[in-house]
Amino acid sequence: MRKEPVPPVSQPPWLWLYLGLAATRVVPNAVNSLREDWAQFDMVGTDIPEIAPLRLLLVAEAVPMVFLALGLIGVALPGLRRRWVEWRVSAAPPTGGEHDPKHQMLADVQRFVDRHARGVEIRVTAVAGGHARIYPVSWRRARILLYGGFPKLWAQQRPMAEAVILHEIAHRRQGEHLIAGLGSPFSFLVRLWAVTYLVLSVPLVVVVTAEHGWVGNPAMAQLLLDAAAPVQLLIFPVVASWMAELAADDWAARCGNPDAVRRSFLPSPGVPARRRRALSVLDHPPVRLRRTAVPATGHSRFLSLVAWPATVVPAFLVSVAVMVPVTLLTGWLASDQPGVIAFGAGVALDSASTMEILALILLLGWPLLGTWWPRMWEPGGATGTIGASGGTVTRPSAKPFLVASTFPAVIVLGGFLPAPDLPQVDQKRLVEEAHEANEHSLPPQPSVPTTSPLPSAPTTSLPPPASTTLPLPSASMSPGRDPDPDTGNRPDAMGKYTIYWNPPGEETSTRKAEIVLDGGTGTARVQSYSLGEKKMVYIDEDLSLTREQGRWWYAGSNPVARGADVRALPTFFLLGQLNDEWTIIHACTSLDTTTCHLAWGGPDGDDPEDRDRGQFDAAVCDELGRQADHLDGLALENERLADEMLLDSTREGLLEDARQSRDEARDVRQRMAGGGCS
Amino acid sequence: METDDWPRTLAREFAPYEESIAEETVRLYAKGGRSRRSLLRGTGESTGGFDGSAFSGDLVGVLQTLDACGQAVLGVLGHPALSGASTAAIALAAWIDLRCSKRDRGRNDRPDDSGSAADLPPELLREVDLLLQRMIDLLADLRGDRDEARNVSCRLVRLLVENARSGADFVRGLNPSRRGRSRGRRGPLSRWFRRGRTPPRGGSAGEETGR
Repeated sequence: MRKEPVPPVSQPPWLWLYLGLAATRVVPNAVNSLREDWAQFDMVGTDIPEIAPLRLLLVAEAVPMVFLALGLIGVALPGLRRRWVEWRVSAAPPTGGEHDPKHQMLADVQRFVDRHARGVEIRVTAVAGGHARIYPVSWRRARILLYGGFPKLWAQQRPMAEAVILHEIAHRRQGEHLIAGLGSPFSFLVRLWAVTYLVLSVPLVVVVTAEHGWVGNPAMAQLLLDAAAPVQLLIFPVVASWMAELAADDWAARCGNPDAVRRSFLPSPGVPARRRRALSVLDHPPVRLRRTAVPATGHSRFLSLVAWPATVVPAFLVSVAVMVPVTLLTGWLASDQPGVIAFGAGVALDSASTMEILALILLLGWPLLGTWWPRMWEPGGATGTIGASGGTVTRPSAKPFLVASTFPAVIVLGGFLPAPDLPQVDQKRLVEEAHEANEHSLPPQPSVPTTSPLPSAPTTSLPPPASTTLPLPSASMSPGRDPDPDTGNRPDAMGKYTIYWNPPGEETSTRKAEIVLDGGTGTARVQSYSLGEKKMVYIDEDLSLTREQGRWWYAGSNPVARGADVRALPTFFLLGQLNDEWTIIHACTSLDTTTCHLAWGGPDGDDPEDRDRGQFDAAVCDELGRQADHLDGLALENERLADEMLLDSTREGLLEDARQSRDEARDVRQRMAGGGCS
Repeated sequence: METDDWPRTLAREFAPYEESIAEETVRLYAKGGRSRRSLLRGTGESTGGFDGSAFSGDLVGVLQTLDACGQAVLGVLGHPALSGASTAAIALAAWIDLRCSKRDRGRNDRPDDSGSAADLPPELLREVDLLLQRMIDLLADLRGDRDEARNVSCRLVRLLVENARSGADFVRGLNPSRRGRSRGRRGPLSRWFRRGRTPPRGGSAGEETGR
C-alpha cells in the first residue's frame, strides 16, 4: 500500500458545530418560545380574525423545529437510514469476484476508495442520480452509492469520476455524511420545511395584508416577526451545508485533479440537460459558486473559513429588515431607526457570542484538531492510523486559520461592549397624534375616556429576542441579565395581571383581582373586585407573562386600534405601577358582571392624574349609587320573602338580612355624600 | 440466446461498463411507473454533488428506444419469413449490414436493391428500413450523435433479427402494457377497432408508452 500524505479538510466541521448548538440551544429555546406564544394566543381567544393566521404561522415556525429534532434522531440512527436508502434505490453490493471481468470496474472503484478511506464500501444501483453519494452504515462505517450514470463516467472520464468519489470521501473525513449525505433526514427536512413554510406563510401575509392593510396594523408587525424568524433560523444550517460542500470540493481538488473537479460542474455534454432542483440550493451551493471556488486561492480560503462565523451578519440584516417596519408600525419614528438598529446590533452581538466563541475555538484549534478528527469516523477509531493507506496527514498551515479567527474574535469582543439602549418613544407626540386622530376620525364617545389610537405607554421595548435576534441560543445567552428592562412590566403586554388593593379601612393589600388583559377584543374579566374607594392598585411585578417580549405591542395597540370595540365605561379605575410610574388603566365594571371592557390609553390632558381624578370621582359616585340601589333592592326582596315565610326563625333571618342591606346602603350613601357626590 | 440473457448482452454490446447493473436496469425499466422514472430522473432525493443533474446510464437509452419502437420491432420479428428457416434471418442480417455500411445513402433510397435480399419479402425489408430510420432518429435525439445512433441502431436491429424469438419476448417484456395483451388476448371489439385504423407504418409505427 502506498503511503501518501493526506491533506486535512480545509474547514472545521461547521455542520457538527451547528448540530451541537441546535440540539442544546436552538431547539429547546424555540420550543419554549413557541409554547409561550401559543399560550398567549389561547388567552386572547379565538374570536379575533388575526389570531387564526398568526397561529398558522406559529405552526409554520414550529415545523423547522420538528425537522431539526427529527434530523437529530436521524443522525443517531445511521443503520435505519442505510436500510431506507438501499431499499429506495434497490442498491446491491457488487457481485462476482475480481476474477470476473464484468465486475472489474467495480473492483477498481473499490480499490480507489480503499486507497483513501477505510471502512467505506461501494454499492451500485441502476437508478439515476448525481453520480455517487455517501451514506452512513454505522457510526464508523459508510457506503458510497454509485448511481446509474457512474459506470459510464468512470469508464469515460476517470479523473472526474475520481473527483466525485474523493468529494464523498471528504465528507466522510469530516463525519458530515452522518448529518448530510444521501438519505439524510436533516437535509431532506430542511428542504421540505422550505416548501411548508412558503405554503403556510405567503397566503397568510397576503390575506392579512389584504384584509387589514399594512399601516398601523399590529398584526402585520407580528406577522413580520413570525415570518422572519424561520429564515433567521435556517440560514445557519444552510450555510453550514454549503461550506461543507465547498470544503469537500477543495479536498477532492487537492487530493486529485482540480481541473476534473471544476469540469464536473460544467454541464455534461451528451447528458440531456435536466432542470436542477431549485430546492437543492438549500443543501448544495450553486454550481457556479462551486466552480469558482476550485482551486482555492488565498482569498477564497480566507472567505470560506470566515463564511460560517459570518453568517450572523446576514441573519442580523434579516432582523434589521424586520425590525425597521415593526418599530415603525408600533410608534417609533424614522429618525429613531439608527438607534433601533444599534440596539438590535447590541442584542445580536450578545446573542451570537456562544456560537462565535465555539467557532473561534474550532478555527484556532483546527490545524491540530484536523489531523485527529477524521479518526473519529473510521473503524479502529482514535487509536488507529489515518486512512486505509496509513497515509500520514499533513498538518495545515495555521496562518489562514489565525487570520480568519479575527472575525469571530471581534464579534465575541463586541458582545462585551455596553449594549446601546433603545430610543425612547416620544409619548407626548403619540398623545397629540392620538388627539388629532380622534378629532378627525372617531365619533364622540360620551362617558368614555378618549383612548389613544396608539399604545398609551409605548414607552420602549423592542420586539426582539426570540424572533428578531439570532436564532442561536440568543435570548437566553445573556443569563442573569434582563433582556430589556423596559419590556419587563409593560401594561400593554397581553396576559394576566394580578392586582391588589387596599379595601376600605384596611391597611394591607389583601384582596386580589385577576384581570386578563387580552388585547385582541379589548375585553377583560375582572374576577373579583371591590368598589367604593379610590384604591391603590399595583400590578404584581413577579409575573412571568409580563416579561414576555415579542407580543408586547399586541394588547396595547390592538384594542385601541379597534376603537369601537373597546368603548369602555370608566366606572372603575385601576392604577398600575409599571416601570416605576403609575399608569392609569381605565376599566369598567359593575356589581353584577364579572366581565368588563378594559382599555388603557393616553388620557387627555397633560397631567393624567389630575385630569382623571374628575372622571374617576364621577365614575365612583355613579358606581356607589348603583351599589346602594342594589343593596336597597336586596333588602326589599328579603322583606318580601320574609312575608311569605311561615317559620318565625326563617322570617327573622330574612328580615335581619334586609336590615343589614339597608344599613349598608345607608353607609354607601353617606360615603357618597362625604365624597362629594351629588 | 435466451430472453434472460438479453440484459447482459445489450449491456455488453452497447454499454459495456454497465454490465453489472444491466439486469437491475431492465428489471426497473420493465416494472414501469415510478421504477422506470427513477432510472431517468432518480428517486427525488437531492442529487447531491456536481452539476445537480440526475445522470442515467446508457443502457436506459437503448431500452427506451427499443421500447418506443416496440410495435415495429415486434412486427419485423413476427414476420412469417423469419419464423421458420434461420437462413432468412442470416440473409436479413447480411442485408442490414449492407444497408448500414452505405452510410452516404439518402434516407429514402429504395432498400431492396441488394442481391442478398433477393429471396426476402420486400415488405419485410421495407419495415426493417423504417424501423432502422425510426431508431436512428430516436437515438440521435437521445445522444445527440447521429453517427453513433446509426451504429447502435444497426447493431441492435441485427441482434434482434438474429435472435428473433427471444428478442420478441424481451421487447414484449419491456413494457407492462404490451405484456398484458400478447397475441390473441384482445377482445373482438378492439381487434375490429384496430382493423379500422391505418396500419402502423414508418414514423407512427412505435408505441409511445415508454416516453
